[in-house]
Amino acid sequence: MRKTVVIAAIVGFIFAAHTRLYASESTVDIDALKEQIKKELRAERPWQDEIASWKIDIHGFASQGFLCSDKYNFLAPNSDGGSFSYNEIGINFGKDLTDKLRIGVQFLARDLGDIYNDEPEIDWAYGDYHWQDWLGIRAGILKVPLGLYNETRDVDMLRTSVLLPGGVYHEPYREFMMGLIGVGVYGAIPLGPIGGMDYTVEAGTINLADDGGIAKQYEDDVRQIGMGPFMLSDFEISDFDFEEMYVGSLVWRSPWGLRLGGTFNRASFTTNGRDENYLAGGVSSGYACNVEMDTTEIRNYTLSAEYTWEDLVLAAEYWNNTFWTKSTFDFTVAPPPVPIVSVQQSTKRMIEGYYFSASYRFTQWFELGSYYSVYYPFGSQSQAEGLNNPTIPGNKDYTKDWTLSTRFDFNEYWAFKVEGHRMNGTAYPLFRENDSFPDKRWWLLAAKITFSF
Amino acid sequence: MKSKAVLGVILAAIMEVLLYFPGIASAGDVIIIANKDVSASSISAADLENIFLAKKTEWDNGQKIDFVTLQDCQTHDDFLTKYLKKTSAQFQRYFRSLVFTGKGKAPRAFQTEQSLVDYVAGAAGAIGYVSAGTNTSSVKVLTVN
Repeated sequence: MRKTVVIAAIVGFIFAAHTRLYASESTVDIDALKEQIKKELRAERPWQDEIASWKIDIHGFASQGFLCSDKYNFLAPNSDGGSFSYNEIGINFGKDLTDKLRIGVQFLARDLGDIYNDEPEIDWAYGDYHWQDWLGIRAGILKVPLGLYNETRDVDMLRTSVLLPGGVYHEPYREFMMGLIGVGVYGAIPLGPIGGMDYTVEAGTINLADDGGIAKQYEDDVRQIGMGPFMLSDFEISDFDFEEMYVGSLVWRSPWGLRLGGTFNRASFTTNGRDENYLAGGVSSGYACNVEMDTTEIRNYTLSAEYTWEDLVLAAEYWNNTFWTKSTFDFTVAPPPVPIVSVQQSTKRMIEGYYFSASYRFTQWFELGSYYSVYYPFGSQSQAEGLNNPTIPGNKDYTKDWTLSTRFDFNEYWAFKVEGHRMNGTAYPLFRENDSFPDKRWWLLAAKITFSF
Repeated sequence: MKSKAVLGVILAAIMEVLLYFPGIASAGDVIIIANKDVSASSISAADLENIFLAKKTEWDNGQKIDFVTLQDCQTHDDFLTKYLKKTSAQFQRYFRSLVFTGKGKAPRAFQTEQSLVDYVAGAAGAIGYVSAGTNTSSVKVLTVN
């Protein structure tokens, strides 16, 4: 009996409460309530509304990678034990000042092994006057077209693989192809039933860091090429002085999913460096050597093809980099007042590479890709005219990279990628990060998780 | 009996796989709509592609083009496949590549076809697409040559 009363009381209470709630709901002006809530939200979000009123587009990305190789350190000094020193964070702001004039800036921070160290830099920042579709002008810090993917190489979300094929997008040379301070014209020319043509022409200069990726690669090149009996095995770059760069790009977009493109750039720069204790006949000399390298001309060109059919994307690109350098080596051979022995050397060097790639998006969340990439740091025929490089191991003048990549999209903002590289040849890893290169075959695992908005 | 069951499972698996592949599902008709102040009454397929890839930004009379899209849905997929030869993912990456190089911005994307029609009806120079059968009395329907 007592139990029945308790249950009846509870039921009655719930009924009464529900009735009261219903009654109160029915008397509220819903529209007024919504307005009130909006007002209160606005009151609590003044800065968000203020930013929204500026009509500034804000986008960004952040990625964290992992590199692990089985024999050699590559990209990160300790990648043979697994390294997380591999990330990118970027944020950009853009605003249309008029229908034809847009300004924008992107800040980028990266980490790759022992370089960059997440120090923020301006990735691009320019004003863009879009006069006509076939002619626009940009001025500021510009992206540099090289091949089909150089301009977006830092945006992991846009591709299947973690690392772009090194045969064309060799990571240490990235700084050569980014952040051109100058001016450019661009346009899209419609070609009616056969698609359209996009072009870009740019001129300017680049600020190269003396402790970045390109410096590491150059130091390694000088250390390994030698000069007669002399080796500058501790060579360090102290200064890069980039003079000018001219860039041209032409891409034909067919209406059948095919893109064909070519890019060309020409530049010149000087480099200064020093080895505190050069080797002579394989023995420490105890003296220093100052080096001045005047790269009077460097020519880069790429040829590209990409074909898209539904979820299948096929691509192939070829890259050729030829440069002419006049170097002066001032060898200290004895204590002062013995004069310094100065040696001049003129060299022409060619770097070549190419790749074939395929990727297929099976579902909304899964994509599979593969590429075969070949990189020749001294040309496919090792045609380094004027170079004396007997110390280079036979497998150091090429790398052939078979890669299998998987990509998982959790949603439109998040993606995870993991890939395996089967390497043949040791042109990628640097002397400074490896003691020797006894084996030509090695593996690299790369993984990355990316967020973008 | 057992073999029929196995056959049934295999067929079901094949159907499941096929459903993942775009293009196998039948594509519905998509119509192109524009604001009534747009002077053109027809548009070429090439111009349509250039507009939705941000390569053509002005109508022939110099009026600025405001192109808008639908968020992921069958009509969006049908439009991209038919006129841009791209999948939804490729289209999204294309505009992200513009956004992250400073070369452009992503178009407005609407959740419903009716909200897209309403926007196009009120925005000068606007162009978009909806599925056939959508009420388009407030906008102009463009024929594609």
